[in-house]
Amino acid sequence: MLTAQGDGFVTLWSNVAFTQPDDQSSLVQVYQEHVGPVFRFLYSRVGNREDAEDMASQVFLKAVRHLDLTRDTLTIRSWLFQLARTAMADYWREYYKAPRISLRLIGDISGPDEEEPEVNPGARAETLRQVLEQLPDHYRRVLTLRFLEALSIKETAAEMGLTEGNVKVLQLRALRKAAERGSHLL
Amino acid sequence: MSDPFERMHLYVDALLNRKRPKRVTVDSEQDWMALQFAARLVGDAEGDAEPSAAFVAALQAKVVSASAPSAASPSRRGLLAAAVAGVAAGLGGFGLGRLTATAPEPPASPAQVAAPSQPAMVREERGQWFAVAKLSQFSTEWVMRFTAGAVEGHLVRHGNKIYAVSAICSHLPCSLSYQNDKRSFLCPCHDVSFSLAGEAINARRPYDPLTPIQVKIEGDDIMVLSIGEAPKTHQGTPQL
Repeated sequence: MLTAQGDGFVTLWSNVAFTQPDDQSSLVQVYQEHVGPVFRFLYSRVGNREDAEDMASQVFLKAVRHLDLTRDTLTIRSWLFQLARTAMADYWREYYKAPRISLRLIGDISGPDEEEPEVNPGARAETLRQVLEQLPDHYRRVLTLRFLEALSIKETAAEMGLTEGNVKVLQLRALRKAAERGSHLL
Repeated sequence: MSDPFERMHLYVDALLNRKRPKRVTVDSEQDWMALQFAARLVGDAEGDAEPSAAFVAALQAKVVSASAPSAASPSRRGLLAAAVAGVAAGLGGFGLGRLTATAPEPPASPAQVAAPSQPAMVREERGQWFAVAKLSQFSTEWVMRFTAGAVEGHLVRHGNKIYAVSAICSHLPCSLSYQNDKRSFLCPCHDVSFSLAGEAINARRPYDPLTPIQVKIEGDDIMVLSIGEAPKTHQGTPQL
């Protein structure tokens, strides 16, 4: 029998993780070092605290079953962010799925990610600002009023001289266009 | 709710009012991505949101509890023993399946399973093998799409090498389509292609490679490792 089980298949999962009491201090250290960055990463993509907390819990409770504490910090961090991305993909598929999209990817982890997690809020804000700047004026205006200045639909309508219904229509169309332009941010 | 404008309005309003949005099903990929962008705008507008101290403490307690030796199942203890035995036998660095195998066997056919460059999608102890193609059925150069349980993938035979990669984009959960003229997999969601080996081609930013799917050959059967509530197997047709 030939099997595809070369070196590449085993990296972080030893099935030995955390079975020794001495590991617990290391575990707590890893947790405390990463819970903030992982939470912030998740929050920046779901925009609400409850969902970010749920997903952060999933990430760490999944990690604790498989994490190899002998790995270096960078590898562990990379893997935790890979778990976070997987949790994120599951979240959008499960709760907001689009039936026309084939959504069959399983949720199991796939190992460390070569890409550094995007955690610099200044860079993120700048990238988002660039996406907004590429939009037509009325799209940029409605998103700025709603998301950056936090105006209500009624206030936005008054500011733009539109009806509330028009603002709702404009808001969705602007978000569609922004998502298209900024798909690399999702 | 059939009105997409009202649906998005309620979603955005919940986010802006610091509430968890209600789950809504969108009927187009475009609106699905628009929802994600709205969440991104709100999430980033606040800068770095810190987790609350209460949440951090509560989750730490759960993590420590889950890591306690008593939490390990008997099967995991068995796996631990197998892993230790494997290391003692000088097999460190190989997969658990390899550790528990009796002995490697010589190739039974000219075709070989190519070793993947990164961890596979399904861990062997959690998955089951699905036969998706016959080794003798096709020529030496082909690509085949398959569904095996919960996994969609592309099986590739290139000369005497056989491997499989996920048919779902590594960035967004979109289904890839094989482009015969370009010998690549195209993601329709954001215009990125992946080589047959699963690497992103001409991407504007770095993308993860496609996730490998574990493959083995038993007799004339080419099998892939999957999991699935719906244990169906679809044997596709070669596309190359």
